[in-house]
Amino acid sequence: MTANGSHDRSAEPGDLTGRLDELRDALREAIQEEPAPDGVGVAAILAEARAEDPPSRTTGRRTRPAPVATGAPRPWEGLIGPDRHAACLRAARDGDRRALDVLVAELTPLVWHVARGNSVGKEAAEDVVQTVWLALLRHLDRLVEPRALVGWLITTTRREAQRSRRAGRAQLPLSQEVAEQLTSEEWLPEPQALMEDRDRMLWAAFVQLPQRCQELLRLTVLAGRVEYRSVADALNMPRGSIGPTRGRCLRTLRDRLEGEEGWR
Amino acid sequence: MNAMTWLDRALDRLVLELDPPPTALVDRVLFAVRRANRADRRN
Amino acid sequence: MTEPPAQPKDDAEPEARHAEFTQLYDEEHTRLLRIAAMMAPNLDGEGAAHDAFVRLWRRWDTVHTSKRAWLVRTMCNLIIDQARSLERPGELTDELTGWQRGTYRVLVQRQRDPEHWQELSDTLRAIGKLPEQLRTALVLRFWEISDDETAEVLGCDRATVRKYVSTARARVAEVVGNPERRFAARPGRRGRGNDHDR
Repeated sequence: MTANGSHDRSAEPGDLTGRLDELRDALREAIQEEPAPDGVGVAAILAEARAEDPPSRTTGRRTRPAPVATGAPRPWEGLIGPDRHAACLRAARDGDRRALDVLVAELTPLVWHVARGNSVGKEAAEDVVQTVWLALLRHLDRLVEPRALVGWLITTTRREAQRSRRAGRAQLPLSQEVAEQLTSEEWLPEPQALMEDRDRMLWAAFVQLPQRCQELLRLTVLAGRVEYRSVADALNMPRGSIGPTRGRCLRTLRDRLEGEEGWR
Repeated sequence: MNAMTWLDRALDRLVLELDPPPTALVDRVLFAVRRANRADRRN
Repeated sequence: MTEPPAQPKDDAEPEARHAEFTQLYDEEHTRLLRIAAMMAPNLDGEGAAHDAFVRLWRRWDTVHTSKRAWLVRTMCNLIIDQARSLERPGELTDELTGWQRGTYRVLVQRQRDPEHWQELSDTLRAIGKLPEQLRTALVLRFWEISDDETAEVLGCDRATVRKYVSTARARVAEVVGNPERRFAARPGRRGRGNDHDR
């Protein structure tokens, strides 16, 4: 982007048009078109609303049901994947605190990786995770489709991550050096010294991939495990085959590494 | 092992081992959620 | 094989509806975010856009006019609601306070030359200070919403939309076009001076 010279100080309308055009460019850059829509955004919307719903739902303060005794049966026991999370969500809605605890314990890694995959530093990612869970608590009743919980969490986390990134960036001095330093440095995981060279190079290349790829690779790592079957569901990925998109992202990664000195 | 398979597994390992959520994070969230729950009930 | 007697239409419809909705989302979501960012960069535009889509989906079959205009109008109303709840601290959510702290940060990303950034955010601020109708008309024109749709959003006719846009432009030019005023407005809170000398 050129930022030099061309802004004259005159007050004629032509000046305004130029300024508005620049503003448009800046906003287009700040808020970019989704490269390849993955349906998670739509899934999160459907999680909150079914078309058949009565048109006006009262939005007043919800009255929370009485707490459920600790010895009560756990309807989610023995279930896995989306069924388990849906059962937990329903129980949580009925006031079962244990159910909410299960969700937080089991799905925090998911929320974490979405935040980290969207270029949020470790400390800020912790805040993002907390904000997302508190948002779920407030929106418990709005999720009319409990099986879509994971999609809702992914979208809410993306949104929160983006907000957090903007706020974080604004605290930096507006110098390019600082911004660049931050993106590479902040990213290396701590036990760096313990890593093998190959691992280190791989990680360094990974954190430079486009955001969507980073997020997707993290999510597919989770989706490949039984405990996270819901993730594969939310991303519309056939189970077992994690799909062509992961393959594409991995190939990009490999191509970048091939060009590196000392790789192989 | 071919390069892609190695990459695939290595990345799996790195993501899970090198960048897991901090152990205290779940506790922190549970605490915040409970507090919010209590505050909500009081209102 | 027994052919189900029910109209096949019933089965096809939810699918078609879903596909249409997804298409609308993919085409318009980014535009909505940009509109929101320009209307109120200090508020949670992403939340407002999401909620507008949720509401549209609930009423999908009853919105017969332009669905895009309906979305935009709903989102603008949600943004206004957010602005109001900022005045009632009891209703603040974490998301909203987070956004509020990030006032005008939407632009920071690439505009690293401080002076250029300042100019852009002055423009944004001037737009933010316009009265509701004028601001909406200007912002929607800016993001290529047709005057017909804007008229639908604002509940007025096309001629009025055009008048709003030109008045809005004139007012923004008045604030950002004049160097003295612009510089006077810069240091911190003193920018409020702009409110008085209209």
